[in-house]
Amino acid sequence: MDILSNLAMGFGIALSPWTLMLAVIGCFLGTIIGALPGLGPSNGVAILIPLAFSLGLDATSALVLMTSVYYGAMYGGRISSILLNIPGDEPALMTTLDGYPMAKAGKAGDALVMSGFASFFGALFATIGLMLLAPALSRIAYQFGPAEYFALYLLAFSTLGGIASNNQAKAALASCIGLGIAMIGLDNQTGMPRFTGGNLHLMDGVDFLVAIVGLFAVAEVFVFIESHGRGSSIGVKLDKVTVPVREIVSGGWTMLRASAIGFVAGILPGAGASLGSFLAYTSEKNIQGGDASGFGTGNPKGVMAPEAGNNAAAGGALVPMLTLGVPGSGTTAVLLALLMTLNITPGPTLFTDRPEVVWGLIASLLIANFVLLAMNVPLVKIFVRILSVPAWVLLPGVMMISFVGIYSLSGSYFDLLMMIAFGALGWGFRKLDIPTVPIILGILLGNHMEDALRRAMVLSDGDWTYLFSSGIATGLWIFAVAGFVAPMFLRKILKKPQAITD
Amino acid sequence: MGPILKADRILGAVVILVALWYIQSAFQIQTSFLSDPVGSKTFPILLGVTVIICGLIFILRPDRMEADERVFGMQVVQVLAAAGVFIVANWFFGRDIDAVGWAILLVATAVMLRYWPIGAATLTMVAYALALKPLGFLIPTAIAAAVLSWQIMPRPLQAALTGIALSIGLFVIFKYLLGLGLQPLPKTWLG
Repeated sequence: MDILSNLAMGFGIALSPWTLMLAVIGCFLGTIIGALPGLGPSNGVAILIPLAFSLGLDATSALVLMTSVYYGAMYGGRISSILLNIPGDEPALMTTLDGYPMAKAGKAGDALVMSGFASFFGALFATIGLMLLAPALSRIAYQFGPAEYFALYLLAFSTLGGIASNNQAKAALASCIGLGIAMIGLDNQTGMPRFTGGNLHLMDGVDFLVAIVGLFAVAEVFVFIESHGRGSSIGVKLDKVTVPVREIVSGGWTMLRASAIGFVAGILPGAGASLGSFLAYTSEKNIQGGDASGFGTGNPKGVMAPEAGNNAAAGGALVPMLTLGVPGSGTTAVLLALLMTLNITPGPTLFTDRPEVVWGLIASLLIANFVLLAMNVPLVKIFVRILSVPAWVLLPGVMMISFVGIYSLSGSYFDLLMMIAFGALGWGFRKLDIPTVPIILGILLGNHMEDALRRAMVLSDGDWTYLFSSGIATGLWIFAVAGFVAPMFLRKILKKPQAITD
Repeated sequence: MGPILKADRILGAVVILVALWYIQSAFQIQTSFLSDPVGSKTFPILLGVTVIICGLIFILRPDRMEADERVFGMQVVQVLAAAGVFIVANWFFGRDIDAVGWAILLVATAVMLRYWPIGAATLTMVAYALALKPLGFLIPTAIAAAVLSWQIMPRPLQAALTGIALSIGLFVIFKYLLGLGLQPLPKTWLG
């Protein structure tokens, strides 16, 4: 078995005491980041990348650390959802629907333990899925030429805009802003400066880490300043934690279904974990008998389904990111930024050229999962205590970490000022309901997308129909258009549920 | 029909102006002899055109917003009008990028006045960024963290203590745990 020998190699790398320690640290930090309201997987991972980078970790170690943080944050998001009715991150929104009612009914401990198990189940399912599917997909990806890649990038932007946002035009605007920012700097092919305004700092382009930390972390500080930390209220108390074995076992099928749905949703480029938890919740609600099932009033299955779905989607989102270089969610976009910072180019060649990175990563995901289960079930009380860190300490701290991180990368004022500008922009966009994830995706993929287009045109000598010439490319174009247009009609049926208020 | 002046309409006008400026700068990109069929102008121009279409959609079909967010205020409109004149004038008569810079600065000032806490926080961060190198880590961090903490929860003593604690705590973590080369105090103090 090819997979088993690869996996053995992966474990050989991941089981060294050093990597194991990094995985534990990453899981711990990640759970805290996920649990704290105002810090989610994307901005949590974002502020840690510059630090991980300036620590001088090698590629595998940095990857293990950051993916542990990523998985940890996906686990941790449920804690504040259940106890405070504040989703620690967007995908955890669905967990509030039944988690908070359960906590109010005095079953906070049960809800936390069950959702912890569901997270474990979903993440394990997805990691195994990733292991089986990613090598196969990477073989298909070998057939991708520039025309196919161009269509694929388009698909990522259109599904991100179509499914994950409320307004297509605003998502399209955000994508174009990101792509437009990516154009700044020296043209790859002619070596001529573009949009630099003669500024030397802009010759290298806009560093995506500056944009990410600005849009995610600094913008969050602005949001909290405007709201005066409202929303960081005191929630429900947690007294005793037991393991409700019977309910977990009876929810086995729920978790399996939710994991499968979440995994598939995660694989779709651009759709990501929010869609995964949403679909897992609504489909489970329908299977259990719609409104009569008690979903929304504290049904344990209503906690397990979205958590399994959300964590499975988090793993699924790694599939397109690793094999094609196209991230499936905001956080995987941040992880892609990490890979690019480490000079690793995701794509089909990653599996053949750097197998130690891929399989080390997969093995450490499996390890991280077990570490997280151990942390999130018996030790959940520690993380609950961390929730009481008030916003007026947390957010200034986040800002300082962002500044030091970016400053230690380049040591230039210019990057810091640009980060602040991105923060203000992100705050304004949040007010205008413009999604910021497409901007990040645009900055990350902009040059690749343009290169793909230009190489395709070189191959075809300027014939634009070449873009639709292969079956794969045409299929991707059709999906891209459908993914962008269809949600306009489906929006009335599939209404995004909003957070419940007391 | 609500008021004509909705945040989305202003947004539409702004993005169209910015896109026009972007397209105009795209036409200024120098080409070289190493050229390909697409060239370095096409993709940016396509982006600009897409943004203009989005801007038109915002103007024609603005989202419904909450009362507070619906109107940015006449102040913003006046400044935007000025900015528009600036950008269009720049487009027709000159190639002077400073005009656009000034226009952006004016818009930013107007928004800052409208949402002054955000403006104040932005200025604090800018000052912090500029002070970090000459004054060392500890003092600017304590002050900036205290200001932001006070902005989130207006209790002066608590904010000051938070600032000092964060500054010292983060310094210890960054310097000794993570080994980053931070300078604690102004260079002149250390001789």
